Amino acid sequence: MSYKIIKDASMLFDDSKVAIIPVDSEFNPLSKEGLHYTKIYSIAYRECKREYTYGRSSHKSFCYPIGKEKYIFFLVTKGLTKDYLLKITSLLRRVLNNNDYVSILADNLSDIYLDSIVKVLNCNVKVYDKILI
Amino acid sequence: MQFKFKVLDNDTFCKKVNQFKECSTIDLKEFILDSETIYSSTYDFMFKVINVSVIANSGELYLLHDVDDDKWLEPLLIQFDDNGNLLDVFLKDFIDAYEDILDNYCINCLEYSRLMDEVRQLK
Repeated sequence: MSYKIIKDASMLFDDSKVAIIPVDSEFNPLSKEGLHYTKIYSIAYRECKREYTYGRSSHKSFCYPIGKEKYIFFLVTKGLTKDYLLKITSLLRRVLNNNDYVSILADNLSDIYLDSIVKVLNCNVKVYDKILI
Repeated sequence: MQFKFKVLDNDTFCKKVNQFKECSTIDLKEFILDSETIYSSTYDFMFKVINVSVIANSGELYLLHDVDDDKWLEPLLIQFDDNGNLLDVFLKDFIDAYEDILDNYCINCLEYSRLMDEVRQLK
């Protein structure tokens, strides 16, 4: 596991199949901030957005495909519970191979949640402090 | 669902891995033909519909994944968290129907990753 600052969002995908990015509930991937993550990829974001709820949870996070077999997972931190996080992460672990990499942007994510994700994934996890804008 | 099953210990898991090692040398199509499907479910994740089936073969239960016709087999391992909550909700109906035989199939989610890495390295 490594902690570092990166210059460009594309670096989240240097090796990784999935990038987990914590966002607030007002986050819009087509806003200036959102495009910071997504502008480098030419996909139709509006059509590709997929929301995730789990069981009876009212919490929603959402995901976009980025290129072939790569995904960006915007984790909405408002209303986030450890229960929801564990369930989503455990599903993620089921579909990851043990040699796959996952990047997590730790910026704005509490240590407790970050620790839970890293423990449950228990694979090649790269944790980044923040992206320089 | 609150946890009420015995969690797999390491020895039981090792036996399971060895069983899996033996069966994984057999052609998967033959293995499936030779098995009985006792439960099927789906979950939707990362833009894919993932079909899962619990199949029985020679007295042991396995989880068969099928994504876009890409099939892979795992030992049946049902994840619970530290507080006893079921994480693999796609298996809820299976658990309700077969709760009397589940002591050998439940696992803490933190252990799941470590142990599945061992299983996947067998392939």
